[in-house]
Amino acid sequence: MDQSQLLRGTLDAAVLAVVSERDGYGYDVLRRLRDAGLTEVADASVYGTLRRLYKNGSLITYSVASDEGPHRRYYGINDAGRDQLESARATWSEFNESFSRLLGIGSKIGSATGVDLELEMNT
Amino acid sequence: MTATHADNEVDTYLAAIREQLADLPPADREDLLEEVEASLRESSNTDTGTLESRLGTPVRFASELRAPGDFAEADPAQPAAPATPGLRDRITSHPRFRVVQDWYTPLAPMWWLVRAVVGAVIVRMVVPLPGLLTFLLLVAAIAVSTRVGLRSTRRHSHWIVALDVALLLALPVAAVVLGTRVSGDN
Repeated sequence: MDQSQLLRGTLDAAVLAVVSERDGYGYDVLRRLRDAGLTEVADASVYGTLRRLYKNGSLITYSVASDEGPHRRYYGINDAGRDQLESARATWSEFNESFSRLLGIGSKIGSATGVDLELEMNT
Repeated sequence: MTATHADNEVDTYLAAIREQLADLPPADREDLLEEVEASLRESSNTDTGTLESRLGTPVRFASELRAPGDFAEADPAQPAAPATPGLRDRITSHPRFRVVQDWYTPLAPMWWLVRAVVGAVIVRMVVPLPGLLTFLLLVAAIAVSTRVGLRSTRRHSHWIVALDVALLLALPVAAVVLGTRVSGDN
């Protein structure tokens, strides 16, 4: 599975996390996501996500004049966005723990019946 | 890449995206485009390569733009076209129907007069009427036919179409009967 497939369900949290560090405009948020290692994130997905998070009430927005072109539309996180980010962190943490255990080579998973299954991953 | 060339490229790319988002409510579409425009102009100033090489085709870009948001739905104010148009729609949208319609519309009043005369003749054949009443019947038939004709130009009605077809079929019969009467009178 490539990174772009994994990103589809997690872009909300990634964008909220970036904006929670400091306010940013579309292209700036995109570059910061890429700098953080999400190199395959699609430009358009980020812009669409920002607009949706704003429409859903998780972000605020304001315009700032720019010397380099049209006004920049900055986004900042609000309380609803922080709650959503906190919820995403908890969900991700739980998912990450389960999935890491599942993918861990040679790790054992205890089943409800007490039978241990050993996962053998081909690398 | 010169500034003007870059601007033109962004303009063309934005126009293509706008076309792809044509089904969105105008407010959502302009909102997304405004967001995209500022970013495209900035990225064109700093990044190398053409927009398509960096961002993919406008079709793909528009699709990715919609995907994360609540922008996938078409404007509810614009009802979706039926998957299979009805027989009436198929006939009225056919190019040949348009030709017939263009030809028929200016001649329609003439048809209203003809059908009134045919209707009056048929009634006169069934019910023997004195001359004055026949004249009044003809005047009444023309008035009714014209009124129905004016209404049907605004709103098509199945029964008017059926009546027209019936009268059209009766026209040769009426002509023969009239011809026989005239030759009989002579």
